[in-house]
Amino acid sequence: MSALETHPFTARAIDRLRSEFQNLSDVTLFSDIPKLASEITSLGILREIGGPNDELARFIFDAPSGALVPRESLKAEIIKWNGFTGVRIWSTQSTRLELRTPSFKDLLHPLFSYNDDGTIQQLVLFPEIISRIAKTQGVDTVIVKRWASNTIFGGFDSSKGFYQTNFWELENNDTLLFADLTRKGQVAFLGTHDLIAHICGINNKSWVLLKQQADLVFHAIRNYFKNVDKPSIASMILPYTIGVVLDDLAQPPTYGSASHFAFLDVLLDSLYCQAIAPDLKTILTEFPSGFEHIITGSRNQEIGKDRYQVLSLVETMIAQIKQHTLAVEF
Amino acid sequence: MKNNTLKSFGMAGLNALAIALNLFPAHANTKPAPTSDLASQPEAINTASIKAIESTWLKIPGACKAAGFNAQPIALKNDFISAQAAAVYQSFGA
Repeated sequence: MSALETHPFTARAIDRLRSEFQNLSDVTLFSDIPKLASEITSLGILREIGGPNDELARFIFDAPSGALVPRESLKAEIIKWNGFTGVRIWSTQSTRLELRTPSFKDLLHPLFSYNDDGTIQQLVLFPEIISRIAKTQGVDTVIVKRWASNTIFGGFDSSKGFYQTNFWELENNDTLLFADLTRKGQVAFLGTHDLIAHICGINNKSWVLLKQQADLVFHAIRNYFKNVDKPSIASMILPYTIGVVLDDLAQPPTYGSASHFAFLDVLLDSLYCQAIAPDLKTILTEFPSGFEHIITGSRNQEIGKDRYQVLSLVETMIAQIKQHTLAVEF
Repeated sequence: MKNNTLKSFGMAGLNALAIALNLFPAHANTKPAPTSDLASQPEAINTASIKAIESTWLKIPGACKAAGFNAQPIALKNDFISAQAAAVYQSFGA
């Protein structure tokens, strides 16, 4: 059995990778370009580990003490094994780790990740193998050029708690793309969020209903903006909110969540009746605080059961959007 | 301005407002859109919006979809690799 080899990306290698990435189409199946996709995704994960965008960090604990390992103790490097490119993640403060999220063991290479006592010594991940595991559940992992351009290959200000250009999710009406991927049984695989929020615990039975919901969302938003070439930010808040609810529904812990469905129902109704005009030409002066109440509410099964409360929360956000706008006439 | 309406004199007016309010975001190209380019009006509006909402956006946890994993850590008594995953690793020589 061959050993793991450290294989750091040189600046030249990253330039080469960026160049090959630029030649990809908008959405590319992992299975069509497994070696290139593995390098891209490994780089994406590498860039996030230990930093503010690391979504794995809060699930990695020291097994003996039960304490969360400090985020800054997490390190990563690119590795190769048997022609596969992957990433190795470890903590400088613990060699006996436990991952407190179900099903993550499916994603760790069994030959290289464990101590003899079953605790985790390091997280060894090979995106190509993980992609095959997702495929056993009928889901294809994909590289989304637009998103990777902003995360893996984009500008990142480490002083901010999110990718500097994360506004692109809102600006580019990315809910439409996300819904389109999901209804086709595809999931982006670009970094730690995709890994732990969508791929870990992926389940083919749950995707049957999820694809139907995503299809509804896709058609609703496409129809909403069918006569609008470049929607305003104000008119994209509702679709964006729908996207965040749908993203939750595409996460295994929230598969089939009744409260999410309840909120999605009301939000889609708001689109159908154009509670906010799709061609609204206004400057939005404040991000509606009601957005947070909708997301928090959708994650609360008790709130989701109360249709009046769901309606009220959505109506509040709509009112805030209308209140905090500056109309522009040309 | 009555009824929250801005009557601008074309792009020049919108650009002047955006500049006055320092509405061009730091991360965007701060060159004002050409006054003769009507197609860039929506971009100018959205650029102004993004800058205006940035501070309120940052205050909202979960505003960023790409960072919103809706789950908390749970200690697991038993967590085993699934049969499907094990078969995949085996097929790759593990």
